[in-house]
Amino acid sequence: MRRTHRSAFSPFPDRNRRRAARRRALAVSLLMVATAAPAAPADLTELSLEQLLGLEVVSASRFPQKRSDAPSAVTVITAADIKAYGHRTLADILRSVRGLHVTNDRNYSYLGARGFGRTGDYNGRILLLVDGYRINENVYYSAFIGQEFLVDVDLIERVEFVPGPGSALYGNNAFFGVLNVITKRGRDVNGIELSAEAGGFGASKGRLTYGQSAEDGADLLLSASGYDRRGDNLYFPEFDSPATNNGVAQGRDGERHGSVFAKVANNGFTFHAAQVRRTKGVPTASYLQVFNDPRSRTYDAESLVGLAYETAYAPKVDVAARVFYSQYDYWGDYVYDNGLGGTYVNRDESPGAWWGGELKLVHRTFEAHKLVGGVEYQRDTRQDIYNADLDPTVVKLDERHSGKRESVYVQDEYTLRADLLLSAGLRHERATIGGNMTNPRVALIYKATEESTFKAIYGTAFRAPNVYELYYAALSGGMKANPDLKPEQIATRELVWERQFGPKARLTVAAFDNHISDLIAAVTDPADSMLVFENVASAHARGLEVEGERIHDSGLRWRASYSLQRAEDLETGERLVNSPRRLAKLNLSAPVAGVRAGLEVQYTDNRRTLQGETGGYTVTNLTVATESLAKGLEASASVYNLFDKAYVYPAGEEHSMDVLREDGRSWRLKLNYRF
Amino acid sequence: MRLNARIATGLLGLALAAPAAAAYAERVPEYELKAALLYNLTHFVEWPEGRNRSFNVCIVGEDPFGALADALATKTVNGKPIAVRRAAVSPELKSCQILFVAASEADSLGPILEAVKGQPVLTVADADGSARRGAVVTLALEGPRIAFDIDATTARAAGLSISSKLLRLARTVY
Repeated sequence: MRRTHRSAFSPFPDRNRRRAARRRALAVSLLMVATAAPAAPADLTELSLEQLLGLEVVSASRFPQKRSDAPSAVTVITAADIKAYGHRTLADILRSVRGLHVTNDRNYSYLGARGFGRTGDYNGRILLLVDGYRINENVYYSAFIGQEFLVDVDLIERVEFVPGPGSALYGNNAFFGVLNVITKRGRDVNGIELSAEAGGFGASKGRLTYGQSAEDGADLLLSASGYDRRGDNLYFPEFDSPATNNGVAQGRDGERHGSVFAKVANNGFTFHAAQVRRTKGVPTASYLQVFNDPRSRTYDAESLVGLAYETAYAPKVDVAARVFYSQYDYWGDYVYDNGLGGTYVNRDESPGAWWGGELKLVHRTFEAHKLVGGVEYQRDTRQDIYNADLDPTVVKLDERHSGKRESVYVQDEYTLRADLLLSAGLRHERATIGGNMTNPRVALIYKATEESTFKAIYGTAFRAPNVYELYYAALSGGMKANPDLKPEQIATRELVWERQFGPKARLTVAAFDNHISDLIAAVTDPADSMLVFENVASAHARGLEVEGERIHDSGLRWRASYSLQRAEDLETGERLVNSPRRLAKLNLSAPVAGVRAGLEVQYTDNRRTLQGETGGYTVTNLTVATESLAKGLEASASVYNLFDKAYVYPAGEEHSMDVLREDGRSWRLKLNYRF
Repeated sequence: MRLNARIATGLLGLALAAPAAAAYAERVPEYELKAALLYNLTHFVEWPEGRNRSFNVCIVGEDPFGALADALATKTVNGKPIAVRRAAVSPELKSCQILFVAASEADSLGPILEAVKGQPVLTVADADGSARRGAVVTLALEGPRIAFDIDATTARAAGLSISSKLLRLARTVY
């Protein structure tokens, strides 16, 4: 990933490779004999208690409970949604969320929120948490949402997206919102679960999960997953010449992923240990690389070890404490022409390590007040960036950094009247990078009627400059460091109206206005023609989002959203790159002939690219899932981009092309077996 | 556009399996089961003699039962007809024999239970994570089955007498 300096590039003779064809056979026995089971009696009240406890339930369809401590229009995606819509990664999940748009440059997935999705930014403006642990690594602050995300999507119990500035509670990176991923418990699995998947472009995945729980509440969840995708041969018209294999990157889009996850809970303590490793081939010849070279790839790995403790300290006081240690490893190989008819590999590395602790108190003692207060400490022991040419090794950059971050926050939810709640929070953070930051958030929540709630929210948030923006310098020229960078800042005003229509239908309308200042961008210094990061840009984004959800008695569930947004660069008055004006999404899940069908339709309006504009597109995904093939066996079949729509994403500065073609129709077959 | 042969095979396989699958369904809707459970609890709990002419089952929060609870209204407990009420205001809560706190009120469970403290009200909390927060009965899902925990201490303080049979069937008693 991750650099913007330019080196000389010249077309290179193509390498024809013959790759061994691999066939994957997936034996599926779909016609297993279903065990005959007694039909449920008409009147359950006639049954004894023992009999009732022996029956199995179809979980009620209801709007999932929001657990996030946030007075904004939260979106919750549950495990049932993930299954119903065939979501393969967190990126797929986020594509269905109101107001978000995801792009992919065949290396990483990037999240755009509320009209802001600048190419080349590394998701440092969304805070990603897994069970409360910060996942944004400490070199680029990137939040990984693709196959490089820490947790297998099948282990996710729910994802809560809290839009809006979250720095008043969470500090750095909670710029456009906070993504809270909550994992399942052992008792949700209750045994061994085996999963096998086969998908388009030679994709396959296997997972083994073990979950167990004891009567006293002790809980264990263990899981391991492996994923491999051969990837398609991709055609890039920008490279269509005989010297560069006629524009075809053959087998260069491969991806491999392995992850392990362990969660043990006992007596108020919860222990987490997780690791993910992902290797991805890069077919786009980004950063002026040689085209179609198998050595172009990136490797990302993240590990987390954490221990948390929660208890009721006094009848109305809850205490939570946690300590953690995390590590991030990245290397990327970039292939260049050495000007002598050969090539060489340039290697980028950025290892990071951090540990920290947090103490949080929730105090409900005073009448009508719910007080939350906490202190956090994080020590970044390693935030290194390293760059060298290989064979022979010529080190071009070796920056080693460390730092720390100390913060204290407090929030009060004050029930002024039965129908009026005031939430006010403030967080002060002192960090080696970024200095001192203080961020407030205030919200007024008015429950006009039993069914209608109005919220008015104001808050600010920041994103500290990352080590790469501060210190990356290409010694051979082209780019210099800027240790004086300041954090980016955002001020958000939001108005929300939530209207319930009975317990099974809901309408949400949200209007937002964001002022972003001190945006960090790479500019060319006229004095020496070097690229440097500066706090130069500022932007204004405003928009309106409407979302309706409904659960029908027939079992049909749907969620539809429409977003209208405008994000402009305040210097130039131009629309921002990769900012769609409109987004429309529909998710529909219905029982059909004994199975469950999940339909997703996602419309993204045209977006500006670095050099022009690209058209809008609609993607349709269809999943058919069944839980009752046989006892313990679940199966699903999904088709993604059902109508094989050709669509593109705006490319970044590091790409020679202006837009990147995305995948056509693809599919996935998945089997889950529990015993 | 040719439809991918593998997709067709997958969907066909599922379609073929579906009719056989229908026989496997032995699952009941969650809240139909919980409504029956609430009714069943009345056989194992003794309330002190009260002045109410009806046996009041109150629901606080987003009602997950709907029409299912109205089916309870045809039953009787100790000769008194069951009356199902959706309660909102705290003075009402004290006259309930069973108080069902819906999952939507998980955050306000504390104040709701405070309002009926010491009263002979069988409080039933319907959300995982509400355990040990003061409700006499907490309902939970264990995989695909319903389970419940009993807070015997709170039951005693409320003046309710719980049969040992119910305690034995509970997942946890504290």
